[in-house]
Amino acid sequence: MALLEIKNLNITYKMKDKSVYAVQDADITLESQDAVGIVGESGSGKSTLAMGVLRLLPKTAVTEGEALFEGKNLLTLSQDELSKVRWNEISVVFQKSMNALSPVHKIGKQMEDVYLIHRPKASKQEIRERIYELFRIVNLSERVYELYPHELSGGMMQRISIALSLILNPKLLVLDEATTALDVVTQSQILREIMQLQEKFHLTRLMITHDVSVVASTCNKVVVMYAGRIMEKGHVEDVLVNPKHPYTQGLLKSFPSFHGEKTDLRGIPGSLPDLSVRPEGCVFAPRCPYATDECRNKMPELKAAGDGKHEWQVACHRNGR
Amino acid sequence: MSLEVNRTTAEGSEDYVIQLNNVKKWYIQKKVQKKDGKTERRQHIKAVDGVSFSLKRGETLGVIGESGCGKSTLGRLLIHLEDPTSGEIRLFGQPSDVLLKKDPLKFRRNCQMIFQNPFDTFDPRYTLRKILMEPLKLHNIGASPQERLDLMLEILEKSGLTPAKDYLDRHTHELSGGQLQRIAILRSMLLNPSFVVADEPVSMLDVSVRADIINMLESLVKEKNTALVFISHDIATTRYISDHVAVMYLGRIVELGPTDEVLHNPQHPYTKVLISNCASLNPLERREAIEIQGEPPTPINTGPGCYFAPRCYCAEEQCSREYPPLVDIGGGHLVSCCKCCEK
Repeated sequence: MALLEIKNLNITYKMKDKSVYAVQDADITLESQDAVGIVGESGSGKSTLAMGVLRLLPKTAVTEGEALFEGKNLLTLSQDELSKVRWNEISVVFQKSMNALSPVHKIGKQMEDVYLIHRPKASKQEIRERIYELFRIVNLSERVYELYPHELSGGMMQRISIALSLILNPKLLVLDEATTALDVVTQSQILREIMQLQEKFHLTRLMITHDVSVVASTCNKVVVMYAGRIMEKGHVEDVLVNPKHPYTQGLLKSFPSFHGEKTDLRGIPGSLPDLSVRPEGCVFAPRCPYATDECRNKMPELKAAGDGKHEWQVACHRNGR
Repeated sequence: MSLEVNRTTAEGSEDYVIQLNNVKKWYIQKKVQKKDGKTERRQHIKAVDGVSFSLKRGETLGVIGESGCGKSTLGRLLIHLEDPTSGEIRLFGQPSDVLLKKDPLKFRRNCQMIFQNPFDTFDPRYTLRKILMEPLKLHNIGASPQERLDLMLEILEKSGLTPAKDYLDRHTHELSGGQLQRIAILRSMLLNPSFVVADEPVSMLDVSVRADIINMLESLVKEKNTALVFISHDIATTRYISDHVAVMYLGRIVELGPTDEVLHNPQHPYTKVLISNCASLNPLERREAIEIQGEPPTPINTGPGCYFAPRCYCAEEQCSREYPPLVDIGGGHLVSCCKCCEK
């Protein structure tokens, strides 16, 4: 059984005079110990998707569909049941860890609080040992326990966030742009640590990022999102090497390559469509170089692509032709 | 680009748009509370610690490095938003502080800067008309209001805002980051500067618009034959736009040379680390990243040895004795590392 199955998920932000369709008909399956990356531009609904599954969105967001975590539908759980799942089984690392930590409490104190909420009977000694163990896992020295967040660098704070997310041995780790604000060297240090942790603790990982290279180097599956819809999903070796969807192709071309000729850098013309209007046809058609009348009038569905060796789906009428 | 570092100041030449000679910017940290309760005064933060290079017209120099390595301070020094603590910056052979004092307006027109965040570049209360009119009036470009209006419309059309007339009375919050950054670039280039500093111009933008902005900047620079200093932490983007690349670490240039020479044949251990750690787009190509420990230290009380030595994976005893000079290892490829110079 899959660890997390997101089925037919729709998330709509209801406003006074309009509705914004942030995520539409999303289907994602995470097998145990998978590392899935969701990529897309900002505003493509990747964060909304993950936060919606975890029920962390404001009340204006209406979530429909199913998100089965080990058979339990996260979207219909009561608050009490949900609190048991959060942190115990699913934990999140947010983008700006400087905002995730309280500036007026010491790091150790903040971590203790988390542990105490979920394990009220824990002794001080036990908590301290657990926290020191976590510090060792993420390569931090024990003195961090007595420091305030402002005394740490961005990389160290990100490590604290990761340590904090592992405090109760979760099964699923959701990383929302966890390394975006960091430097190349620090980013690669932390990504390496995350991958080691995944192996050691048999974690399943959902990474949300706009940086395709992060997904390429650390994930085994990728989901490409555009304007709230899944454009293409499959294994990284398929999707990122030989993309079938024009959007994925465009996204990959927008990154200058480190090797080879310098001439092939091209952006995707135009900008994201208004998400409060639901177009008849493909959402990408207005920016797509290959768009035909069929694309403009009929919404393409996710269809199997490739030679069928791996699961690989593309939502395009051309289907890679 | 001439890369001789030991050029004497007397040799200021008009061939070069900008020349830097051992430029330093040290900030003074007034009070430092030590662990034992004593306070120590006047510690220097060596943000830029002896940088020398020169640029000709039409050349692009990419500056890369981690955050806190002094790239942005260098950019601000170049257009004299900050006074250097010591060293000399020359524009067309003349000291830049003298030029600035003599004719500030002309100096500013000659040296333009493009900032990182397009939302902070413009006054949010101004309309685009006012934003674009301001530099035109200030620098006396365009003889009549009509001529200025035409110029403004031309800029807007070039930045992809059509019909341009509809956008003139909009405020900045009604535009996307990509559109604003395009306007910022076009507005700077409108003054025909001979020297432009672009400080992380695309890092705030979405990937799909980044490429277009970079292409636009590049073609403008080529068209107007402007010297460009492109500051970025993104190595691949820097490679795309620059002819030469300088790698900075703790306020010093550790490696400098033609782009592909430096990036594909790096000599300094820090450059190697930086490059091996930048993730590839191709999942099949898994390069071995060189691991280094620790974070970049703060540039206080550095030296006397190589600044990178404490984190370097191949540091030897001699590395901690004196800072290695920048040495040409052939083809204008300069490296500052004791081990590379031995070869």
